[in-house]
Amino acid sequence: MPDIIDSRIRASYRARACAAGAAVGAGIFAIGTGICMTISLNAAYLSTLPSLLLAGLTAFLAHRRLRRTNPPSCFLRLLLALTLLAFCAFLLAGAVSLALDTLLPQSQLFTLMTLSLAAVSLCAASGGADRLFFAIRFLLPVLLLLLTLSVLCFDSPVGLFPILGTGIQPLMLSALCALPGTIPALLLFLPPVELSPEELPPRALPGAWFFVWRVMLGGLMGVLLLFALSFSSAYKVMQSHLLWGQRMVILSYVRPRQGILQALLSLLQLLSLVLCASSLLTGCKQALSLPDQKALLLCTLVLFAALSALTLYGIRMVLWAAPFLLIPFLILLVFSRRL
Amino acid sequence: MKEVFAVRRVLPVLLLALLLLTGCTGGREIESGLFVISLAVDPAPDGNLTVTIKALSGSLQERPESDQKESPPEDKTLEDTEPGYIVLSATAPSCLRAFGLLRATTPRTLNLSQLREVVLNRALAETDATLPILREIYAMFRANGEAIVVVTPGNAGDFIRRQHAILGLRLSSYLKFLFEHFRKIDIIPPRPNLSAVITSMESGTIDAAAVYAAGNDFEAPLILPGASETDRLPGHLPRTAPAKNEYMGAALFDGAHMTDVLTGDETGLLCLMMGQAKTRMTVLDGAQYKSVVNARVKRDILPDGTLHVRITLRLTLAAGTAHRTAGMMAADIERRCTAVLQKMQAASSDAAGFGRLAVRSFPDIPSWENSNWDNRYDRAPVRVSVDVKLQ
Amino acid sequence: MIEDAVSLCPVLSRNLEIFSARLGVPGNQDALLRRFRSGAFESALICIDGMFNSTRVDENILKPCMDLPAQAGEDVAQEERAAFLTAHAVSILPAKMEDNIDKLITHVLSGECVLLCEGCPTACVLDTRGFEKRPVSRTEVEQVVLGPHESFTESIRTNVTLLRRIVQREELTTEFLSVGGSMKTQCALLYLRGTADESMIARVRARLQACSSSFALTTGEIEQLIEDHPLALIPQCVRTERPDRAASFLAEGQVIILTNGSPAALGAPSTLWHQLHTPDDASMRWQYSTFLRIVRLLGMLIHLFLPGLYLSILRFHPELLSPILLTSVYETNSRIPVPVFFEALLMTLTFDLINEAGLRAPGAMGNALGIVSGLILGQSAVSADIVSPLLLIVVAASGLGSFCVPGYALSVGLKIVQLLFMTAGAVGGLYLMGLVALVLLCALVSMHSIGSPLTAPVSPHRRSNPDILLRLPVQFQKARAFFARHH
Repeated sequence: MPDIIDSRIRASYRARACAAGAAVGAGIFAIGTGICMTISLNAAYLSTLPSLLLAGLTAFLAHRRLRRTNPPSCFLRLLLALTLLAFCAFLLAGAVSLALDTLLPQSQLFTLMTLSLAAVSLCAASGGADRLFFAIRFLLPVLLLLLTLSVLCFDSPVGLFPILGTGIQPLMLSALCALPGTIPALLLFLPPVELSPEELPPRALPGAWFFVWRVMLGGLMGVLLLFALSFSSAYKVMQSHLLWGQRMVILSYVRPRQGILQALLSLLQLLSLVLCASSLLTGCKQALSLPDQKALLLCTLVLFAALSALTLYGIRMVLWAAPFLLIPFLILLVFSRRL
Repeated sequence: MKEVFAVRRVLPVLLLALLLLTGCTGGREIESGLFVISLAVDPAPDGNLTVTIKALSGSLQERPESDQKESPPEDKTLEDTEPGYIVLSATAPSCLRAFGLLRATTPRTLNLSQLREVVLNRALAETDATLPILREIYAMFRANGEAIVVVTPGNAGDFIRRQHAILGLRLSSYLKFLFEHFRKIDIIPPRPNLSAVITSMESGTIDAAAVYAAGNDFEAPLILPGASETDRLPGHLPRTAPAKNEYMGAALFDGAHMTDVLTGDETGLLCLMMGQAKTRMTVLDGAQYKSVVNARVKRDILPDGTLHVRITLRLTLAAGTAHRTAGMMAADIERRCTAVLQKMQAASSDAAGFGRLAVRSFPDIPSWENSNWDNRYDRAPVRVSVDVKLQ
Repeated sequence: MIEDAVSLCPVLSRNLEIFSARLGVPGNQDALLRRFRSGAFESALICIDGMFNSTRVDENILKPCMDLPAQAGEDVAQEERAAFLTAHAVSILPAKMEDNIDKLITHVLSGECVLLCEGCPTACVLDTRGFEKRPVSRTEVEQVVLGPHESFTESIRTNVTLLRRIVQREELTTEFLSVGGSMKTQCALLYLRGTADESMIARVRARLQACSSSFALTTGEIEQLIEDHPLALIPQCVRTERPDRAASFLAEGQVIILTNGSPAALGAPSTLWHQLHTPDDASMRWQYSTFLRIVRLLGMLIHLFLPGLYLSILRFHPELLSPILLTSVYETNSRIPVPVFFEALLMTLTFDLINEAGLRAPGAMGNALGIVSGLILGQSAVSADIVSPLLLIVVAASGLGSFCVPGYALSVGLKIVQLLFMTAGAVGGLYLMGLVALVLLCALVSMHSIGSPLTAPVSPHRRSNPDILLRLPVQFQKARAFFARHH
């Protein structure tokens, strides 16, 4: 019987690790297109490679923390909640920007924000985001890769060269700005939602590599999508894309099957971003030491306020603010033992 | 119980979202759109532009009987068009404002998602206004990126007015099949669609090549003056005056403006050198040869800066009598390909994409942009090596 | 008051007064109270007219008791008199002793007889049920090509027997429970000792006992009262009218709940995959059943998404249409007077109306109704330019897809979900459809069935047989279900 319970606990950790990995991939993709591409153009994918290592390190530190039984520090939990919430807003803004530029160009920004927020809140309320990620852990990357390959044109790797983009220094700056893309890995500091008090860590805690490689694989998906973007668009074309959503569109000159594959790919990207945002919202409400529903309502209201502000002042604000999330992220990593 | 409690909490969020839904997502009934199939841009007096569109009318009404009886070609007016389509035009200082006029005067919403061709007047294409016009059409009006860009020496508006579908198809699908057919016989360049042309114009590593559709004078002989006997004639876009001959080819661009034209035969060679040739049949000296496998093409830039193309062909005699050896055929193809490359160099048009090879040897964008590729390309020696194996 | 008595007393006449008061005798002419002499003491038999087998009562109770010699039972202790009669006169199996009046009333109302003796504070309950009931017939809802055709009936006894014929194992345990408030319904809880998890059995038992309703409960009502998410659109228990399928649930470690008066068994806990499987799947070769499962899944997806996709493409993404299709749709829709969303709702509602009418109309009329309504209504609507032909095809294809869903309850739930997707598609295009799908999927994976995750073993991961969406050969299916007891 203990073996059965332990295998169920491991299944919960597996779901949480899948969710964290997917969210890291989404984060890397969003920050790569939002910020890195504006700095290093077609070398954005290169600049996000160090983020993979940071994601692995975060997973390792999370495992080390879960092994301990000392109570968490309130301040650090609050900081964790705020960081996850801010990144959730970042991902939502990215999703809305992409939706405005692909599937729903004629709709209103505020409407899309509210719809997406409502969906994210409802997903977080049910608490099923982790399990859903686990269920689609193979399907999602396979579909993404298949659709990406089918919309690319392979006669020439148009945008890969020059390989270093705008140069070494911008590449390094871009790499620094890409680091906050691994913030979703902080989800691993929180034990899975469905564990009962007697099942909490360190009981049946898997090894560090269990989390590390899942998170890094998820992040690799984000890097691969950025690579596909570079592959399909020349650097001058990237320069002309002023909107975040335009930069996220993986588009070559071909439009196979009447653009259906392109539409499906955009839809898949959108839903991945929304689902990752939902995971982050779940983590945020878990980090707050409040009753479940109150925490969700509070987080939703804060998100609503933030997204409304973005609607008024422009989505660019969230792009400017994103690199500063590195500060609380590094604080959390440094003091992770007390988290 | 817990579930009911959760629903009550989230319900306000859901309701708020629902309240904002009405009328804000931009959904429209399909019949409220005006689906543009063809678009033409001509220069107009005083620096204006005339934009002409041919769109679905939404009805298959037959014209009245008085209009249907046969009348001589010279009596047909420019507004005669196919049932099911309407033609509208507007003249304004810019393409954007012309579209604005069209939107204002039409009771339906312009929708360019089904656009099949964009026809530009040659005089306009030779200016730098081409790229901004195409960008506006593509980005601002979300035109179908697969629409074929066509340059014509005559009036572009007349060009689209006189297009009629044949073979029992509607014009919208007929145009798609027509250009696919031209692409299969290699008389139009490999990537003449809107998104590819804009990308090429903007990229700096390759130049755009659009479709060139022109007509010969009625009295002229069937073969173009100066063209080889293997030049392809006639490609045609259907016109109401079937006696006129037309030929297809490629309009070469240097950056954003057009500089020269390739004939159909020359376009076929361009496709071959880019490794994009689709036709498997070659006619040489009265004999028809078929490619056994796709031609293997390798393009590179030699250390001394020579633009080199290496082509390997395996051919088999399909019809006629072979009068040439493999060596003779190879030499002939080399000569003609070299002529095409030199013509493109003279036009400063790198439609073959040598710039994409050159950029690989530069580590970053500033060094590439400082290398002045355009000048180097114009002056670089060219060499074409062809290896023909006859089976 | 006499009606408030809880237990029997030794005085026969007093007990008979209690029963008369409780059963409403003489106003209630169905209740029979028969006094007779059985040896040295008086006895009485209480039963409900029409519910018992009169031949058995006459031959096995009354006659043997009345034929006892006058001094029989003289030296038997008064409190042992009922047991004496059971041992020496009554020849009915089974028999049990009971002194609680409420329970005795329940037994009488279910068709059993209660034997009372003078001086004895306990009564003997004798199973003399002999009311008219429907014989075992073919299944009506879960029809199969291969496999058995027997179905459950309304008699709980018959249903238990049908299961015992298939599951001939000593571990098969049947617990009878009276469920409900003032009007109790007899339920049977069946499980395999050692296979079903004890804590799960205890949960089911506790939930059944917590049901309180003032009217007779059917299987469907019991299902709604015991499930974890009563507001959800997806049922969390699997309902079957087939004994063979119920037996397979038992073997997997599930609990079967039978309800008196309902010809269906409830299997709990269940997963979503149980509701997507048909009884034919196990009987066919693995290639056929895998293929048919894929077809069924496609049908379900078409049913859910096709109308919504149609609406979203027409209203938001016309660029996805091919030019030939666009021209046809454009010209047709130009003549339709209503917006496409209302047109789609109208046709979907019409289809559902025809479906319901076909179900409710008697016999052959029901079959003809569907065909005629569909043809006439559809053809007329297209000719009158009220609906477009393409929409008609979409709705018809979607309707066909709904018939591919194995469970009736699930298919109705999916019809509601289809409406949600249609609305989402019409209001927000593919994006909103995707958001709705995400929300529903998140809710689905977090649902439980009597404490077990509904979408397990896919998510969360649990050990399982390769028989979820695709069915691999029977030889590979050796593991127990994840909710079974594991040693």
